[in-house]
Amino acid sequence: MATADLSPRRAVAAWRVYQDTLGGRVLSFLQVLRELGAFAMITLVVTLTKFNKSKRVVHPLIVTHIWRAGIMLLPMVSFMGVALGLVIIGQTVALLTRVGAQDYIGTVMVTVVVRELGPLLAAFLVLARSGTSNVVELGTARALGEVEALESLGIDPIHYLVMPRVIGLSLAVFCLTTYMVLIGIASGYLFAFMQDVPLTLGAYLSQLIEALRWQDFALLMVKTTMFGCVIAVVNCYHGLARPLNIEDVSQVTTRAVVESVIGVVLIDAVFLVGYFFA
Amino acid sequence: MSPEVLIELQKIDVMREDGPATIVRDVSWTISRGEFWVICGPPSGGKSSLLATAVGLSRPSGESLRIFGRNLAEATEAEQVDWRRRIGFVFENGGRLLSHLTVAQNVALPLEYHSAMSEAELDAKVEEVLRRAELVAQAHTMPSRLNLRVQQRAGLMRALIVPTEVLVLDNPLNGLSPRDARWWLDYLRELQVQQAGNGKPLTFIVTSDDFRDWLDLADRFALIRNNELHMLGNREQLLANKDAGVLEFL
Repeated sequence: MATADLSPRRAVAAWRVYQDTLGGRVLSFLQVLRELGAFAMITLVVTLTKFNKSKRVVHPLIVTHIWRAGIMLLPMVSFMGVALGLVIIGQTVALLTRVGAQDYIGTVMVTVVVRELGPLLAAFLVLARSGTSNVVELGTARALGEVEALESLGIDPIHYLVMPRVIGLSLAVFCLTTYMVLIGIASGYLFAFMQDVPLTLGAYLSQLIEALRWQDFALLMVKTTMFGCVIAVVNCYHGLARPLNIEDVSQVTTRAVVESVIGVVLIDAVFLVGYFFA
Repeated sequence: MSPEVLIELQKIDVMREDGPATIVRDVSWTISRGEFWVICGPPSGGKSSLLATAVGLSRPSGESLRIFGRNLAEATEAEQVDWRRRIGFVFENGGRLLSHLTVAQNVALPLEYHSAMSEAELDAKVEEVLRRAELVAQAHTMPSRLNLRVQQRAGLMRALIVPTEVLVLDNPLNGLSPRDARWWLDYLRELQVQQAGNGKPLTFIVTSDDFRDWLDLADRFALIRNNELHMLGNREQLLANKDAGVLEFL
């Protein structure tokens, strides 16, 4: 029988192996966190000190990344915004009407769409489309030696490759979130209207205005910008930080996506606490 | 008056890029203005790593590495950027062009990044350079659609578009047809004569699998053997060398 074979000595050995593995994972996680932090600081310093350096080369790259991460995603974000508004109102309107609380539809939209789902969905869409492609592009460039080629030309790879992506993705997530929230709010009312909910547009907008606070705008801007920064920094780090072979690119892409999701959710949790104190 | 020393390595260990292993140890090497160096060695023997280390692209370990009179360990970022502008580096196997830029954009990049030239001046300079390299027809093509010969020439033009004092070529003739290899040798000879005539002799550092291709051009030869860099002297000394390890590359 299996349990009879598990003598105390073996149990202790198995526990030690488990501890070593867990400890190794924790240390590895802390190491990655440290390296990501250092990479983020370097990127920040380069952005602050070299933003206007060689701007006719670098500023068009920023525009390119805003286009790729932002404008190109508008159709998808529109679709998700409509779906978001329909889903939220569809799920809540019947319940609220049943308990005579249709006056809280606007509050629900603000709490769910403006503060939480809108920013998260926009961030994940940008990650799925632009974040992954950034890791693949940069990882491939690293594997092919293009980063060394840039260095040999006296071009700072952080200035040329990372800074435009960080600025582009940060602005894109912020703008797409704002766009998605507006679309979601509009589609939410449309669904309520189609469901014959006794709620005029004026009343709906009044509810929204009453539920919104100035802190919502400030925190939305800061949160979404941070989402974009985290996605860009994590993806650029995994694409560039270590020597890569072509066959490693898919693996680092997966790792970058997972770490980006974790980073975004952790930031969201921090802001959730902030909403309570704001 | 002895020529100006541009690059000086004192007991430097050349490391592999992907790990801490030493691939060429205890390198002491002085490169002066106007010299034409050719380094040979076995495949994966450290020739590319040696070049990257000598120009400060890879961090060395050892006593000291001085580039343009300045110790690498003490150099500021601005100084290192200045070195990179004065040293043109052409990588092996296609020159490592940036895959998201066309040939013309690749060639223009260092000039566009470092200078304040107008768009019109930049375009004119790039066109002139591409014409000399016989690459005008490929100017708007992405590197992935081009063969090695074209990519390598574009890499050379990218290295030379900014005024250069040291030209580093990593096995430039590798994989080229005899006709294309002849183009390279003729071009480098023309460049050498032109720069000497202007009073600004260009310094060349070349790696190769064969000394014979370079006997007419080069005046300094070295060999990587058993993880060490051996100086073989000038052309006469090289040809007089009867060591089997040297004859292998002749």
